[in-house]
Amino acid sequence: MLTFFLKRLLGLLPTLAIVAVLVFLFVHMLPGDPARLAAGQDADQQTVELVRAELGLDRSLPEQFGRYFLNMARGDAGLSIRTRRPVATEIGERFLPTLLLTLTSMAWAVAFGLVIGIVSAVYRNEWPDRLGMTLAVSGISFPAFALGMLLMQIFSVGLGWLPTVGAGSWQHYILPSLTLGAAVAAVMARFTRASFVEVLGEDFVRTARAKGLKERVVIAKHCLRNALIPVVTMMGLQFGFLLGGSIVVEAVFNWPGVGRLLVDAVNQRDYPVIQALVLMFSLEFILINLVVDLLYGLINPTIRYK
Amino acid sequence: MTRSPSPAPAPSLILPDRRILSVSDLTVRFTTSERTVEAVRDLSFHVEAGETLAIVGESGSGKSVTSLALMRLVEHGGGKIATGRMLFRRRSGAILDLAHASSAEMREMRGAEIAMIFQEPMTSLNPVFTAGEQIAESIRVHQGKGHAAARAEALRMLDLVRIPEARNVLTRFPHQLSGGMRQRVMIAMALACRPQLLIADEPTTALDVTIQAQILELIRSLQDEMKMGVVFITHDMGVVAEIADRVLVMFRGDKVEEGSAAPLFAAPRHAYTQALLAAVPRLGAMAGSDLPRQFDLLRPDATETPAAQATRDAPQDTRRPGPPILRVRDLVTRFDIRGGLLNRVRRRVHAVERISFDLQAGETLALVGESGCGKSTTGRSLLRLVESQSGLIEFAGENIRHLPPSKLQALRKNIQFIFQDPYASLDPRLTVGFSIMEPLLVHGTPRRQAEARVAWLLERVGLTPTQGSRYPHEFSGGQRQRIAIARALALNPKVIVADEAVSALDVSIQAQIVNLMLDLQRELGLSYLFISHDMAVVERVSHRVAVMFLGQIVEIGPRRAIFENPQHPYTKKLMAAVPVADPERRHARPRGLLTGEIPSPVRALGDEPEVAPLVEVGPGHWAARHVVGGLAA
Repeated sequence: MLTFFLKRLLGLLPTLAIVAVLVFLFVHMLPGDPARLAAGQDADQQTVELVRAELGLDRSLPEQFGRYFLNMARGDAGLSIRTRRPVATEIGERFLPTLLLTLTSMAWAVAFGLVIGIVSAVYRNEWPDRLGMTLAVSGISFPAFALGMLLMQIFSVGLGWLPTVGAGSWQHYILPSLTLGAAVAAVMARFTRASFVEVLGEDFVRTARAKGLKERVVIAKHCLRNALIPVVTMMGLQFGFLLGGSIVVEAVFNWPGVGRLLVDAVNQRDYPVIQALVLMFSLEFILINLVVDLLYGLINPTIRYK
Repeated sequence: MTRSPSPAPAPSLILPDRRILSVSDLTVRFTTSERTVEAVRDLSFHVEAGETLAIVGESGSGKSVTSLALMRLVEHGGGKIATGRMLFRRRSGAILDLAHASSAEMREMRGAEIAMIFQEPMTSLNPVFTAGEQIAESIRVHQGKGHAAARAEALRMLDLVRIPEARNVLTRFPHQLSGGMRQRVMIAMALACRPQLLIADEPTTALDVTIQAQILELIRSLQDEMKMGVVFITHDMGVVAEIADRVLVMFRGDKVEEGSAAPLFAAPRHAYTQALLAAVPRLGAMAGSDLPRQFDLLRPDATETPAAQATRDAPQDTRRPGPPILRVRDLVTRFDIRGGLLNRVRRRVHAVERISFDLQAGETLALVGESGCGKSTTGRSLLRLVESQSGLIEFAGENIRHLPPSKLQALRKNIQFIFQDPYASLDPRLTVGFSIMEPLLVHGTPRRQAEARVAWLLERVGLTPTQGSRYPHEFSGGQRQRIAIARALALNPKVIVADEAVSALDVSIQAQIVNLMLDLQRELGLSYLFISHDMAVVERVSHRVAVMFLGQIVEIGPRRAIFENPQHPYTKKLMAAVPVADPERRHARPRGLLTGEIPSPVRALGDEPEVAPLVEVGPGHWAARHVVGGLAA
């Protein structure tokens, strides 16, 4: 297990290097001139050139890449072109709200998704299944911005129970996380149901029943763990997506998250911020996948790591 | 076919003294949106204490449904007990009608008073719990014991089923145990609460013969110790003869015959029982003859001419003299097991270890052995489906092992494969006609010609050309195997490697397919490499036999010499383990031969197994004299 973990961590380095190269090339291919944008609409050509030199954008592309790569390797992401503040601070401020929002969304989405999925599988083709799957389809198909605005209209504007926008207190988390988690819960429910239906047909479930176990024990003990593998895979993927920030939800609830930071950075051609964010997203995905793989081993002992 | 629901159970239920189970007029229905199927119709039988009742039948006979109905587990599969009573004597002496018991009552019965073991010990055990936990669970539920006490009892049960190193097995997961050990764990689990009735649903079908013999022996002796009734469900008449006191034969949901084992085997009354017994390959049926012969089918096609009947009965001498069509010398195939930080080779599976054999034109050479002996790997190595490390495979004068990839296609035209599971080896999304035609198209036959050939092939294997436009799921298992054979024949191959080609089929179908293969050999002059674990079928079809053990051929020679005068101890062990379809000979086999697990072909690096040339013990009959896996002649 430990060897497997170390091997995977080593394997992470080439992946990150490739991503770093690709994102550098991609950013420099974007049309638009960051020096012009940073200097402002009214600046003359001389000022723009001055800004360009200051940002190091007048050097050749290989030279720029070398400096970017060395700085990244040292852990220095540089200064934001837009705000002149360190990129690390910029991202740091936005990361925590996104992480907390992701965690709360995932928590309720996974809990609901699992329960709906299991109930649907156990009462397959009966009314609880139909109800559960109708909910799931609505969750997937209802657009997030509409759900967010609907929730805000009811609970903030109409009933006045919850704050509308911002991220100050725990109440601020409720509506955005519901909005963000709805689609995740729906996907989880469908996955859990499919996986559970399959496990319910396995021979060992028949064995468990033949032992005289209560149906509740058969489901919760013998089926659940076996059904969990595809569910955990999906959970990891969804978690990665949510950590990337949701532009729609952040816009609706005026949430200070990384999604909006990325949009702003792209609009301003803020090269260092874009590069750092993309690298961070891929690192997140890789680490989540690693955790998911380790979870496989905990869930199912037949999966051994070499 | 509607029946009025059975009357409510009478207030007082009576069973004769020693009887623990009495089933009367049991009907089980499966209702789908399209139709209603009666899987079991008006079935009645009974089981006495300490008695074994075998329920026999082919697939679709309703035998498994009957066992699930007894446990009332059939409801989870969509079945419904429509009519009938299933009276069961509880440990307390009270009598309960299982057909009408409440689900709480049934839970008390299951695992405690009626227990069940299943066919596939791998899939029937939960992969995520240890063997100990799965046994202890049932003890905790039914005997109210605590965790520690239940675990101690589980250990005692593992000792009882004679598992070596029981204490270690307690903490192991199912995938860390061998097939035989898993089935022992299943038995320990079933017997943990000392049930009155044990239902064994094909408990040995998935096991190797030597392990099967051990498990049957174990069930028998535990039955004596615990005085329980056993309902033993199987399709294998040999196993029935080994274990049954009484036999119930089922056919498509109906009981066709019931009676004590000995008279039933000696003089079956019903035509179906007779057909079933005739189709059972019996070890020793070919004693005194050198050549393969077809099975006698008691239900021959009505159209069969006397001439066809005559060829059926005649022994087949299809071997043609001349140089061998396939020559294998010192073939070695090993698989690396990698591990560690640098993915270095840690251990090796010595799947095939320096084997040598020849195959004549028109000859059938059987490769026999148990799981892991390397027989399938040998077949795959011939076609370069797996790469072998050294040795020579010579086909038509060319060494296949050094053939460039561009010439492999021509080779594969001449050597074709038939696999065990015809369903898994046919693409479910393609019509069977296209599946048969595909190899022709790949090798450049024009479409029109290919279509004509498919029609001819389908007819040749006993199907009609119009069936070519159907999909695999529309055919039965036997028909699918015919299709697989047609596909293998499409390119006019010289050699067919049949890897357990008839092992998954019901006996009557198995006999038909074997006969078909023999017919084709006679007409087309095919050579077969017949890979099988079933000694009785091998005896029927083969000219020569090679016995494999731990990757080596330990004995090779004419079929008659091997079967009538086996030299190597492993061959003898294999023969002794084959169940004989004759209750009279039940206890005639030498005991003590049948112990121990099948050893593993996985070895550490540098730990090469000892391989020595075989020694000639008779004309063309060679046997190993060196030690293989602890067995020496």
